[in-house]
Parts: sequence; C-alpha cells; structure tokens
Amino acid sequence: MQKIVSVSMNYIDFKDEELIIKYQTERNDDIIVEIVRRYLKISYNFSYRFVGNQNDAEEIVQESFIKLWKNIGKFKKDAKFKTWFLTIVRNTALDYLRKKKDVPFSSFDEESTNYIEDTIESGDINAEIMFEQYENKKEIEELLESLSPNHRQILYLYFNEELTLDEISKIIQKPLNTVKSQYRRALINLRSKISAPKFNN
Amino acid sequence: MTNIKYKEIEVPQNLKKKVILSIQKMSNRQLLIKKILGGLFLTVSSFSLLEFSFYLVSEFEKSGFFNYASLIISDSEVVFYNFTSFTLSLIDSTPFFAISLVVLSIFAIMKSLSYLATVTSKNSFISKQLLII
Repeated sequence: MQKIVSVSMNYIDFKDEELIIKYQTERNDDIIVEIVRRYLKISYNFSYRFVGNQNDAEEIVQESFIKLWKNIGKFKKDAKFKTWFLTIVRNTALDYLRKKKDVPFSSFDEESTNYIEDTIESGDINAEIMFEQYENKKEIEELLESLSPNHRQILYLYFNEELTLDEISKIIQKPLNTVKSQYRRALINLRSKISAPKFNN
Repeated sequence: MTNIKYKEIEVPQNLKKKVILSIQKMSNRQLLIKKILGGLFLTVSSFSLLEFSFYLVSEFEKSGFFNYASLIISDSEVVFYNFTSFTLSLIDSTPFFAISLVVLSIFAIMKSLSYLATVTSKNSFISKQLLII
C-alpha cells in the first residue's frame, strides 16, 4: 500500500499539462488520481457557483471527471489544462441544468452588448478601489452571491482562479469582448448594490 | 489583488472516493462492452469459418481440383511431360474465392482472440487506488 502512495507522490512535481501528456503515453492511473486530487476543490467550487447546492455540484464534479478520463486523449499539447478542464466542468453543469430544467436558463444566456457601457474607460470601475472600504468578508461574499449565475461564474474565475478574461472567454465559449462586457456589468452591478441602503449604512 | 473573492467551499469528505468510484464504474462498463464485442466477433468469425470451410470443400469438389490433383499420384509421368498445362488446369480449378473467405475468417478469429486477450489482461481503472483513499 505504501508503494502505491509513493508512486502517486512521484507526480507531485509535474505540471498539469505534463501529467496529461504523460498519461496519454503511459496510461498510468495514478496520474488521474493526482489530477483528481488537484482539481477536486476547483471543480467543486466552480460547479457550486452554478447550481448552488451540494448534491448537484457533486454530480457535476463526478460527471466532469468521467468526461475528463474519457476525453483525455483529445487534450492538445499547447493547451492549458485548467482552461480545458473548466470548460468541461461548465459544459457538464449546463447539460445537467438543462436536464433538470429547474433553473431559469435566461440567467446563462448571452447578454445583449451595450456598446456605451463598453466604451467606459476601465479606470471607471476598479474592483480594488470599489471594495477597499469593505473589510468585512461576509458582506463581500453576500454581495457576490447575489449576482446572476452568469456574472458569478465570471467573477469566480477571475478573482478566485485568477484566470485572464481571455482564458475565461475560452471556458464559457463566448467572444472576449462579450466576456469583457459581462465582467464590467458584473462590477457595475456590484457597485449599484454597494450604493444600496444596506451597504451605505 | 483585490479582496473580492468567493468563499471557498469545503469539498465533501467522500467526494474524491465517489469520483474515483464513478471513473472505475465507467472503466468497468467499457471493459465489459469491449469483452462482449470481442466475444461476439469471435463467435461470428468462428461460425463463418465453419460455413466457409463447408463451402470450400464443396467448391473443391465441384471444380474437379481433386481429380486433377490425383493425377500426380496416378499418372505422374503424364503430369511431368505436360507440367505447364497441368499446372494451369490445377490453378484454373482452384476455388480462390472460397479459400480467401476461409483465410479471412481465420484471420478474424486470430484478431478477435488477441483483442480479447488484451482486454481481459487489462485491469479495471485504479482499483488499487481505492485501497489508499
């Protein structure tokens, strides 16, 4: 048993992409276990932002890892694993919700692009400045949770997973400009919530 | 970085085990499907070998190949002096189509046997990993 653990430990130093390429040639199941270990929390948190409950998030995570295992041969050398896998998780979550049909799908639909909003200089909405007065983490979390699922996923990927907007656009399969616009709208939305009486007090 | 961050939600304790088990279940299912397919292929190719063998024998009988061939023993001298025409007649009476069908079904049997051997020797996904979770 200890031998198996030490085999798994050997993969700790590898980058995600290196591990996947290694798996494509070696087919060593320890590699999959290592990937599960690395991405369980990320995929669970990301799924949870979509569905908002533990059971559904668990189902999505399981399904996503099965899809990863099935499609691992399709991963390309020059791709970034995190982006690739989170795309799988997102698509799985969408399929899951479609099957369940208990979530209003308009919340995931592409928003119409408001070009006036998009031309506002980025300095106008600075997330750092916007939130610097809020030391209370719980308040910020409350605000973030109150956003639409679409905005939640973008902000989660941007702030928690520290992905770029370009990478996010690949995950949610929308043009970069749309993602930029949605990101800005999410921040505008947050700003309007901050101005609401509860937070002003 | 800004202090905008979603709260990290703790992963349920048994989720890793559930994920590994679900991959293992899928792996088992795939292996089973492969075994069934291999078995089906083996059965079909065995039956076709049997059928084609009967067909081959009847074709040999119809073509008069055996009659020509028996000349080698009974009239070897005649065969020797008319070797070219004898060979051509022999080739002409050979049921090549039936032979190729038999050869193909033998090849299919060998292929399906080697496929089944590979599939059965494969272990199901990370069954050993469950020991350490």
